[in-house]
Amino acid sequence: MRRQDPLAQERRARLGLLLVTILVIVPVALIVGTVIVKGIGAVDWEFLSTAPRNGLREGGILPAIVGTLVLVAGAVLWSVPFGVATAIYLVEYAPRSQIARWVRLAILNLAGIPSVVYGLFGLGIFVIGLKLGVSILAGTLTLALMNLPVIVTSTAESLKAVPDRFRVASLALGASRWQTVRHIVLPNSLQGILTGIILETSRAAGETAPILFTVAAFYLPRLPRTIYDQVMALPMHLYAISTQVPNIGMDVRYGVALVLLGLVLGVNAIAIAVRSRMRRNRIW
Amino acid sequence: MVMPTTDALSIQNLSVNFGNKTALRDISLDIHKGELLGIIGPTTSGKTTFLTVLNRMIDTLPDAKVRGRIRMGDLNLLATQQVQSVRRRVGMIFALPVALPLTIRGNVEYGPRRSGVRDPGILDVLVEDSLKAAGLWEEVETRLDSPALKLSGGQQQRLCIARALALKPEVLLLDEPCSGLDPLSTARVEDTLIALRGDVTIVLVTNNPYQASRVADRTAFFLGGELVELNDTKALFTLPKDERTQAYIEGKFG
Repeated sequence: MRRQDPLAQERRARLGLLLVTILVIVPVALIVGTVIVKGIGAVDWEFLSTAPRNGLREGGILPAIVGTLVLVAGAVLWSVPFGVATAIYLVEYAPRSQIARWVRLAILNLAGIPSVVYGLFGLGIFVIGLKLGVSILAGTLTLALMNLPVIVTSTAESLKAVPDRFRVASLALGASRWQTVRHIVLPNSLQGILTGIILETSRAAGETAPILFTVAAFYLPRLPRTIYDQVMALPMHLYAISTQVPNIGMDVRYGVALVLLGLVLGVNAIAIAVRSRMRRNRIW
Repeated sequence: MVMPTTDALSIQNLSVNFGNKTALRDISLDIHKGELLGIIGPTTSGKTTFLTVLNRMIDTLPDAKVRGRIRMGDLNLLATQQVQSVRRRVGMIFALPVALPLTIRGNVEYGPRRSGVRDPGILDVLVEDSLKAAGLWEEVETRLDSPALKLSGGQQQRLCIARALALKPEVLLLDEPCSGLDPLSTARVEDTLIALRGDVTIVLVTNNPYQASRVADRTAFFLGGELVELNDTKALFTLPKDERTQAYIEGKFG
Protein backbone atom coordinates (compact mmCIF):
# COMPACT_ATOMS: atom_id res chain seq x y z
CA MET A 1 0.00 0.00 0.00
CA ARG A 2 1.09 3.50 -0.78
CA ARG A 3 2.27 5.56 2.14
CA GLN A 4 -0.12 8.33 3.10
CA ASP A 5 0.59 11.74 4.43
CA PRO A 6 -0.69 11.57 8.04
CA LEU A 7 -1.60 15.25 8.01
CA ALA A 8 -3.79 14.92 4.92
CA GLN A 9 -5.30 11.79 6.45
CA GLU A 10 -6.08 13.69 9.62
CA ARG A 11 -7.75 16.49 7.62
CA ARG A 12 -9.91 14.02 5.70
CA ALA A 13 -10.90 12.18 8.89
CA ARG A 14 -11.86 15.41 10.62
CA LEU A 15 -13.90 16.61 7.64
CA GLY A 16 -15.66 13.25 7.19
CA LEU A 17 -16.60 12.97 10.85
CA LEU A 18 -17.84 16.56 10.86
CA LEU A 19 -20.09 15.94 7.83
CA VAL A 20 -21.60 12.81 9.37
CA THR A 21 -22.18 14.69 12.61
CA ILE A 22 -23.98 17.48 10.77
CA LEU A 23 -26.09 14.82 9.04
CA VAL A 24 -27.33 13.73 12.47
CA ILE A 25 -28.56 17.24 13.27
CA VAL A 26 -30.44 17.66 9.98
CA PRO A 27 -33.48 15.43 10.65
CA VAL A 28 -33.95 16.92 14.12
CA ALA A 29 -33.85 20.44 12.69
CA LEU A 30 -36.21 19.46 9.88
CA ILE A 31 -38.76 17.89 12.22
CA VAL A 32 -38.72 20.74 14.73
CA GLY A 33 -38.72 23.31 11.91
CA THR A 34 -41.64 21.71 10.06
CA VAL A 35 -43.73 21.39 13.20
CA ILE A 36 -43.08 25.00 14.17
CA VAL A 37 -43.72 26.46 10.71
CA LYS A 38 -46.88 24.46 10.04
CA GLY A 39 -48.26 24.51 13.56
CA ILE A 40 -47.54 27.97 14.91
CA GLY A 41 -50.56 29.43 13.09
CA ALA A 42 -52.97 27.23 15.03
CA VAL A 43 -51.49 27.91 18.45
CA ASP A 44 -53.02 30.89 20.19
CA TRP A 45 -54.44 31.53 23.63
CA GLU A 46 -57.82 30.08 22.75
CA PHE A 47 -56.16 26.91 21.44
CA LEU A 48 -54.34 26.46 24.73
CA SER A 49 -57.13 27.48 27.08
CA THR A 50 -60.40 26.01 25.79
CA ALA A 51 -61.90 22.58 25.25
CA PRO A 52 -62.43 21.10 21.77
CA ARG A 53 -65.81 21.61 20.09
CA ASN A 54 -67.70 20.26 17.09
CA GLY A 55 -66.24 16.74 17.11
CA LEU A 56 -62.65 17.94 17.77
CA ARG A 57 -62.71 20.13 14.66
CA GLU A 58 -62.87 23.43 16.54
CA GLY A 59 -61.87 24.86 19.90
CA GLY A 60 -58.69 24.18 21.81
CA ILE A 61 -56.81 21.36 23.47
CA LEU A 62 -56.80 22.37 27.14
CA PRO A 63 -58.16 19.00 28.40
CA ALA A 64 -55.38 17.15 26.54
CA ILE A 65 -52.68 19.43 27.98
CA VAL A 66 -54.06 19.07 31.49
CA GLY A 67 -54.48 15.33 30.96
CA THR A 68 -50.87 14.87 29.86
CA LEU A 69 -49.60 16.91 32.83
CA VAL A 70 -51.76 14.88 35.24
CA LEU A 71 -50.55 11.58 33.76
CA VAL A 72 -46.92 12.60 33.92
CA ALA A 73 -47.22 13.88 37.48
CA GLY A 74 -49.03 10.73 38.55
CA ALA A 75 -46.48 8.47 36.92
CA VAL A 76 -43.65 10.33 38.69
CA LEU A 77 -45.51 10.10 41.99
CA TRP A 78 -45.72 6.30 41.77
CA SER A 79 -42.43 5.45 40.11
CA VAL A 80 -39.93 7.76 41.84
CA PRO A 81 -40.25 6.49 45.44
CA PHE A 82 -40.14 2.85 44.36
CA GLY A 83 -37.45 3.40 41.74
CA VAL A 84 -35.13 5.45 43.97
CA ALA A 85 -35.59 3.12 46.95
CA THR A 86 -34.81 0.09 44.78
CA ALA A 87 -31.70 1.76 43.36
CA ILE A 88 -30.45 2.68 46.85
CA TYR A 89 -30.92 -0.90 48.01
CA LEU A 90 -29.16 -2.31 44.95
CA VAL A 91 -26.18 0.06 45.04
CA GLU A 92 -25.71 0.84 48.73
CA TYR A 93 -26.94 -2.18 50.63
CA ALA A 94 -26.72 -5.38 48.65
CA PRO A 95 -24.81 -4.94 45.40
CA ARG A 96 -23.61 -8.55 45.37
CA SER A 97 -26.68 -10.30 46.77
CA GLN A 98 -28.78 -12.87 44.95
CA ILE A 99 -31.81 -10.59 45.12
CA ALA A 100 -29.82 -7.79 43.47
CA ARG A 101 -28.95 -10.14 40.61
CA TRP A 102 -32.62 -11.04 40.15
CA VAL A 103 -33.73 -7.40 40.27
CA ARG A 104 -31.09 -6.38 37.74
CA LEU A 105 -32.20 -9.17 35.42
CA ALA A 106 -35.83 -8.13 35.83
CA ILE A 107 -35.01 -4.49 35.11
CA LEU A 108 -33.06 -5.42 32.01
CA ASN A 109 -36.06 -7.36 30.72
CA LEU A 110 -38.62 -4.75 31.77
CA ALA A 111 -36.69 -2.08 29.88
CA GLY A 112 -36.89 -4.15 26.71
CA ILE A 113 -40.66 -4.62 26.74
CA PRO A 114 -42.48 -2.62 24.03
CA SER A 115 -44.74 0.06 25.42
CA VAL A 116 -47.86 -1.44 23.87
CA VAL A 117 -47.31 -4.54 25.99
CA TYR A 118 -47.32 -2.31 29.08
CA GLY A 119 -50.63 -0.94 27.81
CA LEU A 120 -52.14 -4.41 27.53
CA PHE A 121 -50.70 -5.38 30.93
CA GLY A 122 -52.25 -2.23 32.45
CA LEU A 123 -55.58 -3.10 30.86
CA GLY A 124 -55.44 -6.67 32.17
CA ILE A 125 -54.13 -5.98 35.68
CA PHE A 126 -55.16 -2.45 36.68
CA VAL A 127 -58.28 -1.76 34.60
CA ILE A 128 -59.90 -5.21 34.69
CA GLY A 129 -58.04 -7.24 37.32
CA LEU A 130 -58.00 -4.66 40.12
CA LYS A 131 -61.26 -3.13 38.81
CA LEU A 132 -59.77 0.37 38.66
CA GLY A 133 -61.57 0.95 35.39
CA VAL A 134 -60.24 3.10 32.57
CA SER A 135 -58.96 5.85 34.87
CA ILE A 136 -56.12 8.20 35.79
CA LEU A 137 -55.18 5.71 38.51
CA ALA A 138 -54.84 2.81 36.07
CA GLY A 139 -53.08 4.94 33.45
CA THR A 140 -50.53 6.48 35.79
CA LEU A 141 -49.76 3.10 37.35
CA THR A 142 -49.15 1.69 33.88
CA LEU A 143 -46.88 4.60 32.95
CA ALA A 144 -45.09 4.29 36.29
CA LEU A 145 -44.41 0.62 35.63
CA MET A 146 -42.92 1.55 32.29
CA ASN A 147 -40.79 4.31 33.87
CA LEU A 148 -39.56 2.15 36.73
CA PRO A 149 -36.67 0.30 35.07
CA VAL A 150 -35.26 3.50 33.59
CA ILE A 151 -35.53 5.37 36.89
CA VAL A 152 -33.89 2.51 38.81
CA THR A 153 -31.07 2.37 36.27
CA SER A 154 -30.43 6.12 36.04
CA THR A 155 -30.64 6.53 39.83
CA ALA A 156 -28.25 3.61 40.35
CA GLU A 157 -25.78 5.20 37.92
CA SER A 158 -25.96 8.52 39.79
CA LEU A 159 -25.36 6.77 43.12
CA LYS A 160 -22.41 4.85 41.69
CA ALA A 161 -20.89 8.13 40.48
CA VAL A 162 -20.30 9.14 44.11
CA PRO A 163 -16.74 7.94 44.85
CA ASP A 164 -16.50 4.99 47.24
CA ARG A 165 -13.85 6.71 49.33
CA PHE A 166 -16.54 9.06 50.69
CA ARG A 167 -18.63 6.09 51.83
CA VAL A 168 -15.59 4.48 53.46
CA ALA A 169 -14.65 7.73 55.23
CA SER A 170 -18.20 8.17 56.50
CA LEU A 171 -18.47 4.59 57.77
CA ALA A 172 -15.06 4.89 59.43
CA LEU A 173 -16.41 7.86 61.41
CA GLY A 174 -19.06 5.63 62.93
CA ALA A 175 -21.89 6.59 60.61
CA SER A 176 -24.38 3.88 59.72
CA ARG A 177 -25.12 2.80 56.15
CA TRP A 178 -28.31 4.81 56.14
CA GLN A 179 -26.62 7.91 57.60
CA THR A 180 -23.97 7.60 54.89
CA VAL A 181 -26.63 7.39 52.18
CA ARG A 182 -28.66 10.20 53.72
CA HIS A 183 -25.83 12.67 54.43
CA ILE A 184 -23.13 11.85 51.84
CA VAL A 185 -24.41 9.81 48.91
CA LEU A 186 -27.83 11.35 48.27
CA PRO A 187 -26.82 15.03 48.55
CA ASN A 188 -24.02 14.38 46.05
CA SER A 189 -26.11 12.42 43.56
CA LEU A 190 -29.40 14.27 43.85
CA GLN A 191 -28.95 16.34 40.72
CA GLY A 192 -28.05 13.28 38.66
CA ILE A 193 -31.07 11.45 40.02
CA LEU A 194 -33.31 14.43 39.22
CA THR A 195 -31.95 14.67 35.69
CA GLY A 196 -32.77 11.01 35.08
CA ILE A 197 -36.27 11.43 36.45
CA ILE A 198 -36.96 14.53 34.37
CA LEU A 199 -35.74 12.93 31.14
CA GLU A 200 -37.85 9.85 31.80
CA THR A 201 -40.81 12.11 32.53
CA SER A 202 -40.55 13.77 29.15
CA ARG A 203 -40.48 10.36 27.51
CA ALA A 204 -43.61 9.36 29.38
CA ALA A 205 -45.32 12.56 28.23
CA GLY A 206 -45.06 11.46 24.62
CA GLU A 207 -46.15 7.84 25.06
CA THR A 208 -49.45 6.73 23.50
CA ALA A 209 -49.56 2.96 23.77
CA PRO A 210 -49.52 2.58 27.58
CA ILE A 211 -52.39 5.05 28.04
CA LEU A 212 -54.44 3.90 25.05
CA PHE A 213 -56.39 1.20 26.91
CA THR A 214 -55.92 2.42 30.46
CA VAL A 215 -56.89 6.09 30.74
CA ALA A 216 -57.04 8.04 27.48
CA ALA A 217 -60.34 9.45 26.30
CA PHE A 218 -61.07 10.23 22.67
CA TYR A 219 -63.25 13.25 23.44
CA LEU A 220 -63.81 14.53 26.96
CA PRO A 221 -64.15 18.29 27.09
CA ARG A 222 -64.44 18.62 30.89
CA LEU A 223 -61.36 18.53 33.09
CA PRO A 224 -60.77 15.52 35.41
CA ARG A 225 -62.07 15.72 38.98
CA THR A 226 -60.98 12.43 40.61
CA ILE A 227 -58.33 9.80 39.97
CA TYR A 228 -61.10 7.53 38.65
CA ASP A 229 -61.84 9.89 35.73
CA GLN A 230 -60.57 9.40 32.22
CA VAL A 231 -58.54 12.18 30.62
CA MET A 232 -57.55 13.27 27.16
CA ALA A 233 -53.82 13.31 26.44
CA LEU A 234 -51.77 15.11 23.78
CA PRO A 235 -50.22 12.12 21.97
CA MET A 236 -53.56 10.30 21.96
CA HIS A 237 -55.33 13.44 20.77
CA LEU A 238 -52.85 13.87 17.95
CA TYR A 239 -53.36 10.26 16.92
CA ALA A 240 -57.13 10.69 17.07
CA ILE A 241 -57.42 13.85 15.00
CA SER A 242 -54.89 12.59 12.47
CA THR A 243 -56.56 9.25 11.79
CA GLN A 244 -60.16 9.29 13.06
CA VAL A 245 -61.53 12.75 12.29
CA PRO A 246 -62.05 13.75 8.67
CA ASN A 247 -61.87 17.36 7.44
CA ILE A 248 -59.62 18.71 10.12
CA GLY A 249 -57.17 21.47 9.36
CA MET A 250 -53.53 20.47 8.85
CA ASP A 251 -52.47 23.40 11.00
CA VAL A 252 -54.49 22.05 13.95
CA ARG A 253 -52.65 18.72 13.78
CA TYR A 254 -49.31 20.47 13.64
CA GLY A 255 -50.46 22.78 16.43
CA VAL A 256 -51.04 19.80 18.72
CA ALA A 257 -47.68 18.35 17.72
CA LEU A 258 -46.03 21.70 18.44
CA VAL A 259 -47.55 21.90 21.93
CA LEU A 260 -46.45 18.32 22.70
CA LEU A 261 -42.99 19.00 21.31
CA GLY A 262 -42.76 22.22 23.31
CA LEU A 263 -43.74 20.40 26.47
CA VAL A 264 -41.17 17.62 25.95
CA LEU A 265 -38.36 19.94 24.86
CA GLY A 266 -39.15 22.28 27.73
CA VAL A 267 -38.83 19.43 30.21
CA ASN A 268 -35.58 18.29 28.58
CA ALA A 269 -34.23 21.84 28.77
CA ILE A 270 -34.85 21.79 32.52
CA ALA A 271 -32.95 18.50 32.74
CA ILE A 272 -30.02 19.95 30.80
CA ALA A 273 -29.98 23.03 33.02
CA VAL A 274 -29.96 20.85 36.14
CA ARG A 275 -27.15 18.73 34.75
CA SER A 276 -24.93 21.65 33.81
CA ARG A 277 -25.45 23.14 37.26
CA MET A 278 -24.39 19.80 38.69
CA ARG A 279 -21.19 19.80 36.63
CA ARG A 280 -20.38 23.31 37.78
CA ASN A 281 -20.97 22.52 41.43
CA ARG A 282 -19.12 19.22 41.45
CA ILE A 283 -16.09 19.61 43.64
CA TRP A 284 -14.34 16.29 43.43
CA MET B 1 -10.40 -8.75 91.58
CA VAL B 2 -9.91 -7.54 88.01
CA MET B 3 -6.61 -5.76 87.61
CA PRO B 4 -6.80 -2.34 85.93
CA THR B 5 -5.58 -2.87 82.42
CA THR B 6 -2.84 -0.80 80.84
CA ASP B 7 -3.62 -2.11 77.39
CA ALA B 8 -5.84 -0.19 75.01
CA LEU B 9 -6.19 -3.24 72.81
CA SER B 10 -5.24 -6.82 73.48
CA ILE B 11 -5.03 -8.97 70.37
CA GLN B 12 -4.89 -12.74 70.60
CA ASN B 13 -4.35 -15.22 67.76
CA LEU B 14 -5.75 -12.94 65.09
CA SER B 15 -5.97 -14.45 61.61
CA VAL B 16 -7.65 -13.00 58.52
CA ASN B 17 -8.44 -14.71 55.24
CA PHE B 18 -9.81 -13.29 52.01
CA GLY B 19 -11.31 -16.30 50.31
CA ASN B 20 -8.46 -18.81 50.41
CA LYS B 21 -5.79 -16.11 50.64
CA THR B 22 -4.28 -15.57 54.06
CA ALA B 23 -3.73 -11.92 54.94
CA LEU B 24 -2.85 -12.23 58.62
CA ARG B 25 -1.59 -15.34 60.44
CA ASP B 26 -1.93 -15.79 64.18
CA ILE B 27 -1.05 -12.28 65.36
CA SER B 28 -0.89 -11.71 69.11
CA LEU B 29 0.13 -8.39 70.61
CA ASP B 30 -0.94 -5.86 73.21
CA ILE B 31 -1.18 -2.18 72.40
CA HIS B 32 -0.48 -0.06 75.48
CA LYS B 33 -2.66 2.86 76.47
CA GLY B 34 -1.26 6.14 75.21
CA GLU B 35 1.64 4.68 73.24
CA LEU B 36 2.49 5.37 69.64
CA LEU B 37 2.95 1.98 68.04
CA GLY B 38 4.62 1.95 64.66
CA ILE B 39 4.01 -0.90 62.24
CA ILE B 40 6.49 -1.35 59.42
CA GLY B 41 6.74 -3.92 56.67
CA PRO B 42 6.68 -4.26 52.90
CA THR B 43 3.47 -4.11 50.88
CA THR B 44 1.23 -7.19 51.26
CA SER B 45 2.66 -7.73 54.72
CA GLY B 46 -0.85 -7.39 56.20
CA LYS B 47 -0.33 -4.02 57.94
CA THR B 48 -3.39 -2.37 56.44
CA THR B 49 -5.56 -5.44 57.00
CA PHE B 50 -4.47 -5.39 60.63
CA LEU B 51 -5.70 -1.79 61.01
CA THR B 52 -9.04 -2.47 59.30
CA VAL B 53 -9.69 -5.27 61.79
CA LEU B 54 -9.10 -2.97 64.77
CA ASN B 55 -12.04 -0.70 63.92
CA ARG B 56 -14.12 -3.31 62.14
CA MET B 57 -13.86 -1.59 58.75
CA ILE B 58 -12.96 -5.10 57.64
CA ASP B 59 -16.71 -5.79 57.85
CA THR B 60 -17.16 -3.71 54.70
CA LEU B 61 -14.76 -5.88 52.68
CA PRO B 62 -16.31 -8.82 50.87
CA ASP B 63 -15.10 -12.37 51.62
CA ALA B 64 -13.09 -11.34 54.70
CA LYS B 65 -12.97 -14.00 57.39
CA VAL B 66 -11.60 -12.98 60.79
CA ARG B 67 -10.62 -15.35 63.62
CA GLY B 68 -9.13 -14.65 67.02
CA ARG B 69 -9.96 -12.33 69.92
CA ILE B 70 -9.49 -8.61 70.45
CA ARG B 71 -10.25 -7.10 73.82
CA MET B 72 -10.78 -3.35 74.31
CA GLY B 73 -11.43 -2.84 78.01
CA ASP B 74 -14.43 -5.07 78.69
CA LEU B 75 -15.47 -5.16 75.06
CA ASN B 76 -15.02 -8.21 72.87
CA LEU B 77 -14.26 -6.10 69.82
CA LEU B 78 -14.65 -8.77 67.15
CA ALA B 79 -17.93 -10.15 68.50
CA THR B 80 -19.86 -6.99 69.31
CA GLN B 81 -22.81 -5.91 67.18
CA GLN B 82 -22.12 -2.26 68.08
CA VAL B 83 -19.88 -1.68 65.06
CA GLN B 84 -20.60 2.06 64.92
CA SER B 85 -19.59 2.46 68.55
CA VAL B 86 -16.34 0.57 67.85
CA ARG B 87 -15.54 2.91 64.96
CA ARG B 88 -16.16 5.95 67.16
CA ARG B 89 -13.83 4.61 69.83
CA VAL B 90 -11.21 3.53 67.29
CA GLY B 91 -10.73 6.20 64.61
CA MET B 92 -9.04 5.58 61.29
CA ILE B 93 -7.02 7.78 58.92
CA PHE B 94 -6.42 6.53 55.38
CA ALA B 95 -3.37 6.70 53.15
CA LEU B 96 -4.92 9.27 50.85
CA PRO B 97 -6.70 12.09 52.66
CA VAL B 98 -10.44 11.88 52.06
CA ALA B 99 -12.13 15.14 52.94
CA LEU B 100 -15.88 14.66 52.70
CA PRO B 101 -17.60 16.96 50.17
CA LEU B 102 -18.72 19.27 52.98
CA THR B 103 -17.34 22.42 54.57
CA ILE B 104 -14.32 22.25 56.86
CA ARG B 105 -16.65 22.62 59.83
CA GLY B 106 -19.01 20.03 58.33
CA ASN B 107 -16.18 17.52 58.13
CA VAL B 108 -15.18 17.91 61.76
CA GLU B 109 -18.79 17.89 62.96
CA TYR B 110 -19.67 14.87 60.83
CA GLY B 111 -18.84 12.13 63.32
CA PRO B 112 -20.33 13.81 66.40
CA ARG B 113 -23.51 14.77 64.53
CA ARG B 114 -24.04 11.19 63.33
CA SER B 115 -23.67 9.99 66.91
CA GLY B 116 -26.41 12.38 67.98
CA VAL B 117 -24.63 15.56 69.12
CA ARG B 118 -26.86 18.47 68.10
CA ASP B 119 -25.98 21.31 70.49
CA PRO B 120 -24.28 24.06 68.41
CA GLY B 121 -22.21 25.21 71.40
CA ILE B 122 -20.80 21.74 72.02
CA LEU B 123 -20.14 21.27 68.30
CA ASP B 124 -18.30 24.61 68.07
CA VAL B 125 -16.04 23.64 70.94
CA LEU B 126 -15.40 20.22 69.39
CA VAL B 127 -14.51 21.80 66.05
CA GLU B 128 -12.05 24.25 67.58
CA ASP B 129 -10.46 21.74 69.96
CA SER B 130 -10.10 19.06 67.30
CA LEU B 131 -8.62 21.39 64.70
CA LYS B 132 -6.21 22.75 67.29
CA ALA B 133 -5.17 19.24 68.32
CA ALA B 134 -4.54 18.37 64.68
CA GLY B 135 -2.47 21.54 64.21
CA LEU B 136 -4.78 22.97 61.58
CA TRP B 137 -6.75 25.61 63.50
CA GLU B 138 -4.62 28.63 62.66
CA GLU B 139 -4.71 27.85 58.95
CA VAL B 140 -8.49 27.48 58.70
CA GLU B 141 -10.14 29.39 61.55
CA THR B 142 -11.24 32.22 59.27
CA ARG B 143 -12.76 29.94 56.63
CA LEU B 144 -14.45 27.12 58.50
CA ASP B 145 -17.43 27.30 56.16
CA SER B 146 -15.53 26.95 52.89
CA PRO B 147 -15.34 23.58 51.11
CA ALA B 148 -12.88 21.15 52.67
CA LEU B 149 -11.88 19.84 49.24
CA LYS B 150 -10.21 23.19 48.51
CA LEU B 151 -7.56 22.50 51.17
CA SER B 152 -4.13 21.21 50.16
CA GLY B 153 -3.33 17.50 50.56
CA GLY B 154 -1.40 17.99 53.77
CA GLN B 155 -4.14 20.18 55.22
CA GLN B 156 -6.78 17.63 54.21
CA GLN B 157 -4.87 14.89 56.00
CA ARG B 158 -4.71 16.98 59.19
CA LEU B 159 -8.42 17.70 58.71
CA CYS B 160 -9.00 13.94 58.62
CA ILE B 161 -7.10 13.63 61.88
CA ALA B 162 -9.15 16.46 63.41
CA ARG B 163 -12.33 14.81 62.16
CA ALA B 164 -11.41 11.54 63.84
CA LEU B 165 -10.39 13.36 67.05
CA ALA B 166 -13.77 15.09 67.24
CA LEU B 167 -15.22 11.73 68.27
CA LYS B 168 -12.84 11.61 71.26
CA PRO B 169 -11.47 8.21 70.24
CA GLU B 170 -9.43 6.04 72.57
CA VAL B 171 -7.35 4.72 69.68
CA LEU B 172 -6.32 6.34 66.40
CA LEU B 173 -5.26 4.15 63.48
CA LEU B 174 -3.22 5.73 60.70
CA ASP B 175 -2.60 3.88 57.46
CA GLU B 176 0.48 5.39 55.79
CA PRO B 177 -0.92 8.86 56.44
CA CYS B 178 2.02 10.62 54.80
CA SER B 179 2.43 8.51 51.67
CA GLY B 180 0.89 11.18 49.47
CA LEU B 181 2.40 14.20 51.21
CA ASP B 182 5.48 16.32 50.63
CA PRO B 183 8.24 16.37 53.30
CA LEU B 184 6.99 19.60 54.89
CA SER B 185 3.42 18.32 55.25
CA THR B 186 4.81 15.02 56.49
CA ALA B 187 6.73 16.83 59.21
CA ARG B 188 3.57 18.68 60.27
CA VAL B 189 1.58 15.45 60.49
CA GLU B 190 4.38 13.83 62.49
CA ASP B 191 4.45 16.80 64.88
CA THR B 192 0.71 16.38 65.30
CA LEU B 193 1.08 12.69 66.14
CA ILE B 194 3.86 13.35 68.64
CA ALA B 195 1.69 15.98 70.34
CA LEU B 196 -1.27 13.59 70.52
CA ARG B 197 0.72 10.69 71.96
CA GLY B 198 -0.16 10.02 75.55
CA ASP B 199 -3.71 11.30 75.31
CA VAL B 200 -4.64 8.94 72.51
CA THR B 201 -3.30 5.51 71.69
CA ILE B 202 -1.90 5.67 68.17
CA VAL B 203 -1.16 2.86 65.74
CA LEU B 204 0.85 4.16 62.81
CA VAL B 205 1.31 1.95 59.78
CA THR B 206 4.06 3.24 57.55
CA ASN B 207 5.93 2.19 54.44
CA ASN B 208 8.79 4.31 55.59
CA PRO B 209 10.82 2.71 58.42
CA TYR B 210 12.48 6.04 59.18
CA GLN B 211 9.11 7.55 60.02
CA ALA B 212 8.57 4.83 62.64
CA SER B 213 12.06 5.37 64.00
CA ARG B 214 11.33 9.11 64.32
CA VAL B 215 7.99 8.98 66.12
CA ALA B 216 7.09 5.52 67.44
CA ASP B 217 7.51 4.35 71.06
CA ARG B 218 7.48 0.72 69.99
CA THR B 219 7.67 -0.70 66.51
CA ALA B 220 6.32 -3.93 65.07
CA PHE B 221 7.63 -5.54 61.90
CA PHE B 222 5.09 -7.41 59.77
CA LEU B 223 6.05 -9.73 56.94
CA GLY B 224 3.81 -11.95 54.86
CA GLY B 225 0.92 -11.62 57.29
CA GLU B 226 2.98 -12.52 60.34
CA LEU B 227 4.32 -10.45 63.21
CA VAL B 228 8.05 -11.00 62.97
CA GLU B 229 9.24 -8.76 65.77
CA LEU B 230 7.91 -6.20 68.24
CA ASN B 231 10.21 -4.14 70.42
CA ASP B 232 11.01 -0.66 71.68
CA THR B 233 11.68 1.40 68.58
CA LYS B 234 15.28 2.12 69.48
CA ALA B 235 16.02 -1.55 70.20
CA LEU B 236 14.28 -2.73 67.05
CA PHE B 237 16.23 -0.39 64.84
CA THR B 238 19.61 -0.79 66.52
CA LEU B 239 19.57 -4.42 67.61
CA PRO B 240 16.93 -6.34 65.64
CA LYS B 241 16.58 -9.89 66.92
CA ASP B 242 15.36 -11.36 63.66
CA GLU B 243 17.54 -11.31 60.58
CA ARG B 244 14.49 -10.55 58.39
CA THR B 245 13.90 -7.37 60.40
CA GLN B 246 17.51 -6.42 59.96
CA ALA B 247 17.33 -7.03 56.22
CA TYR B 248 14.18 -4.92 55.88
CA ILE B 249 15.38 -1.90 57.83
CA GLU B 250 18.65 -2.01 55.92
CA GLY B 251 16.59 -1.77 52.74
CA LYS B 252 17.48 -5.19 51.37
CA PHE B 253 13.86 -5.88 50.33
CA GLY B 254 10.42 -4.31 50.28
